[in-house]
Amino acid sequence: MYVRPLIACLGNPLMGDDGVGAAVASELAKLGYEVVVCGSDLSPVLTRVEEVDSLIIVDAMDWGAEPGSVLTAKLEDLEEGRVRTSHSLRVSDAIKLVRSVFGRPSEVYVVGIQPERVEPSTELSPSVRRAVNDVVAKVRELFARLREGKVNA
Amino acid sequence: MAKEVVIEHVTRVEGHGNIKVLIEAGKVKEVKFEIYEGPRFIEKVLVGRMYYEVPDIVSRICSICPDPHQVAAVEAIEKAFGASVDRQTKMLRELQLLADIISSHALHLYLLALPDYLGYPDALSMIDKYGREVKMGLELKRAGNAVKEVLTGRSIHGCTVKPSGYTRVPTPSELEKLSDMLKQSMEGAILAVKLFSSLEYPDFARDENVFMAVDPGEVYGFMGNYILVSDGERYPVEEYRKLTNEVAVPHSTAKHSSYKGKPFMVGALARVLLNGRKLKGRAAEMLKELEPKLDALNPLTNNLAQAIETAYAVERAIEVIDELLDKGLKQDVEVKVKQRKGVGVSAVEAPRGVLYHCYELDDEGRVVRADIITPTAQNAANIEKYIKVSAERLLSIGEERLEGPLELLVRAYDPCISCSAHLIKVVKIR
Repeated sequence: MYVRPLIACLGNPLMGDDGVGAAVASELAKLGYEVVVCGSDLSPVLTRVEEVDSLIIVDAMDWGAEPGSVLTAKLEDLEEGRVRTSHSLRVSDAIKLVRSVFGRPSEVYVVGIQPERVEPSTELSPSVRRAVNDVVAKVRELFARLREGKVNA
Repeated sequence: MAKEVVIEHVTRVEGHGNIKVLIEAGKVKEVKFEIYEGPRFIEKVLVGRMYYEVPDIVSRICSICPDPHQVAAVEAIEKAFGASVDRQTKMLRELQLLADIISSHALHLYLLALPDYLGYPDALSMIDKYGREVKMGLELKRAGNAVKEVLTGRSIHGCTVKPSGYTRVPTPSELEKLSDMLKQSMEGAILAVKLFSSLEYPDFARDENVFMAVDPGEVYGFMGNYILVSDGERYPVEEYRKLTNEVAVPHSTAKHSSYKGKPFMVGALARVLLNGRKLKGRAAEMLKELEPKLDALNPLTNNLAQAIETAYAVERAIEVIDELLDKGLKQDVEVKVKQRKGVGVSAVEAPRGVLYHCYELDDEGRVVRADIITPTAQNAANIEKYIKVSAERLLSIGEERLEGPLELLVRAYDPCISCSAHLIKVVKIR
């Protein structure tokens, strides 16, 4: 089975470790991957959603781990807290909305990075900066597995 | 005894705000529209940066309206340098602003405001019964996003917008595809006008208001060098401080604005009331029919004005693309300006109203001072005024029932309290 995955990187590079998604996006782009750079809103995936079967979301994610920790999971396996993000729409709700209208993407994975500091700054904290290569490797591995149809994360 | 009604974290608005109503002896004593979004000091971040970095930085102020921030920034910087741009660049900028209007209004009308009027907590819950409407909203937003993606490289926080032009100009085939997509999305824009003109707008908030909008010249639009005020005055944008008169208030991280001592409103309703006669095509026809429903005294009708504007923006975007294709696109645009010391002010219409950017630059093109006044900051005092008017009238229905109508009122302004960081918060991993 051929599955076309899409990589979407979220995060604001002016808000410290929240910008880790943007840093990962730029590394992946150097390696020739097509990446949707989302900023702080998932809606940029809308223009691609009908071309893809699966979605890999890369974002800073707080699950109380050590800063710089990386977690790969199916979106369905994460129970999101009430987030005060754009219009109170959680990533899982945004995906539900898009799926209900376009019937895609069928599989959504999150590669999350535990931040150390989310505050006005253009720098990543050392722990998160060190994690960028690990995140890139994990995204590449997941991307390859999804392409080959081995969809178990 | 005094009693405080607190509506915490108004939902389905951009950013974080509270409504507080203080009631004493059966009367509304004080109201506060608290904006507790953390300040991000963008104006300070800009100081010392080179002029060409500015559009990329200011686009991060907002993920819903990064485009007006970019266009306002480059226009102000060009004014400071005494530079001008060619017609092609002007048209591409207009297209970028139109795309942002489409994308932002589609989100607000279909996904944020409509649930209020149809009695649902959010758009997700509407899907079973109103799947078509949700689909139309997302398709319209997607069309706006697609235009932004082609023009700026990304649908949010684009990276091709620079003083003097775009670092990449779209190809004719890209523009043709966009035109087809926009033509298909017109149905969603017209449906929005039908939906929002069929709604009954409650009149609990009716009161005298003052409006401001950019004077677009002969054609309805979102750029200009003068500001129109509903009292008949017209000011050059350089005099924006006379119009905003910002003061800090303790309960809000957004400053409050006033004009001749009164709060005023900016946004779609202000634009359609002040410039509606300049609309063309289907939007002009629809406005003619619906004009009586657009009530200058009732800010809730801002939603209907947004719907009319969306239809206009789709049609106008198609027209701009046709003209660009007819004239032929120059691909080899040199993005270069001559730096000089100076101050430049610009005003553009963002989806939520007039947006001012002012920069003082040194002779190398470094930012010495930046001043950015967003439409929601200008509207904050007006929102507070109408919360008071509404709460006074609604007290008789009972304090416990104030929440719904007051949230409806605040949401009608489509306030963009401004998103800062996006972070997924996980409470459990299975």
